[in-house]
Amino acid sequence: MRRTSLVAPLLLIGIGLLFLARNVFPELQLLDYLAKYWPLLLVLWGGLRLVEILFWAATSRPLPARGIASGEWVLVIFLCFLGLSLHTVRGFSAWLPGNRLELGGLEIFGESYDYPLSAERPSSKTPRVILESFRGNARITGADVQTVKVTGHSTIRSLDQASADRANQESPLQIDGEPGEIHVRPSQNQISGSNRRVSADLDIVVPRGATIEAHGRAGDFDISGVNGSVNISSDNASVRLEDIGGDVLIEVRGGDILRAVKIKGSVELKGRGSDIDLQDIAGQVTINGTFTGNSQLHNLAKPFRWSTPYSQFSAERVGEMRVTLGNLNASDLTGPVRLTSSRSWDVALTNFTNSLDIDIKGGDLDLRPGLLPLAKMDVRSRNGQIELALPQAAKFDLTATSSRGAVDNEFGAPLKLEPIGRRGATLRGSNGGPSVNISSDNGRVTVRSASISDSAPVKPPQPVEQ
Amino acid sequence: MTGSSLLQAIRGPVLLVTLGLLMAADQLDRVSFSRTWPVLLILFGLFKLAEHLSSDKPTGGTTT
Repeated sequence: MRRTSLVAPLLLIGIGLLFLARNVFPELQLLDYLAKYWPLLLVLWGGLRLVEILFWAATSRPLPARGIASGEWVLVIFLCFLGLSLHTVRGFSAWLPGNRLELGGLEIFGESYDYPLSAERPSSKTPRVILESFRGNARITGADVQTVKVTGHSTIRSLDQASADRANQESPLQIDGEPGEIHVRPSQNQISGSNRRVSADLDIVVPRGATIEAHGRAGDFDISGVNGSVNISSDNASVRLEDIGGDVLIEVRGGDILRAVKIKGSVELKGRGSDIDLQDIAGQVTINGTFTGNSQLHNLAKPFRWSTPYSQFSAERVGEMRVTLGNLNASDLTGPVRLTSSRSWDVALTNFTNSLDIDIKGGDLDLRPGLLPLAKMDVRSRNGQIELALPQAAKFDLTATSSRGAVDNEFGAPLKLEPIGRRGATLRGSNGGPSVNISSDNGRVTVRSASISDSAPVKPPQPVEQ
Repeated sequence: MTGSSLLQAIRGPVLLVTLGLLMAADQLDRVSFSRTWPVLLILFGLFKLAEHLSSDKPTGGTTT
């Protein structure tokens, strides 16, 4: 008969009791004790097992081949990791390069402590307000005042109150500088030790004429009613801007959304991120980088330019545009409109003027120029269908070619079909308008006459499944 | 025979107790575990050696 040890069940019961005690008496600092004395658990375990085995040996009972089974060693190692990470977050010295452990630990075991913040400093009417190395959320609002006023609270994530208190004292909110240049420093970097994390939620009221500069690590910016320019750079930020009088420059390396509404100056977005939402922008708009989410652009009054590593899009004015992964829907564009890409795009354009220039690697194109006089077009997709809906009264000089696909003439005269080789065809016809060149290397090309519904704005794209 | 199996049986618990003590020393900021871990290796080696010797004696203690 194989004898099993009593230690493992005892240990399990003990751990169960510990957690139960923690739930029943939350004020007990059990985690603290555990963090400090967990090695004794190992000693206790080994000691009990040793006594057990010696007892069996003394009473001449059969001995197990191994005192501690391999499964138990796994448990021991697990316990060591748990203990060490607990220990690290508790702020004792540690031998592990434990940043990750510590952060994980803080998130799992830590608690948040809030401290109120408030500071004020007189300023000129048009100060530069500089927010430095900031972690947290900031709401900046312009008002008819001549001070920069900061209120809010800092949140310190730590395992106990005392350590959080210390961190709070070490990270005072500093606000200084000349009236023309105010610095707001949450001083979150000066905290000694890395077992606490400070972030702040700030409500900053600035004079309406202020210029905002913010350098953040992580967190959101919400800025409204400021007449100066706004310049934000952050590792990870969601930015919401509304009612900005000056130019906007946002440079991020991550974040959920960049939203700018009612901007009188130019808007420039750089870096990487997810969603973009721009509305009513009076100045030029430049987007440069990789933004992989859903983008919505509405009413851009000046030239718009979007460059990604693989694609370029530009237009003089944009009424409405939605971009999701591989999908571009736009309406009411003032040309020249230009799209070049080494990737595939499904493109639907409605109501565009002046000229359209598309050269993409693939994807289906749905073009409804809508407005007269007809835009000059030069459209090429290397692989995909093209459908062009021309208004009945349009004047054009059209050439539509598919090298390896069918070409349909649903417009009628003056267009005439000429086959090329065995599979391709060209549709040609002119009534004295601008040149319209459409070609697909591999795909069906259709030219038809537009109906009234064709000049309605594009429908939002279907959500793309990843 | 019994000596050898006893040694084998207590090897795990003794190592565990030692590990616990070293960890405790580390936690209390006495000696860092990164410096003391070889103790476990040495201990393990000693056990192996002792097992070897005690299992040798009854069977072939005279050879070599």
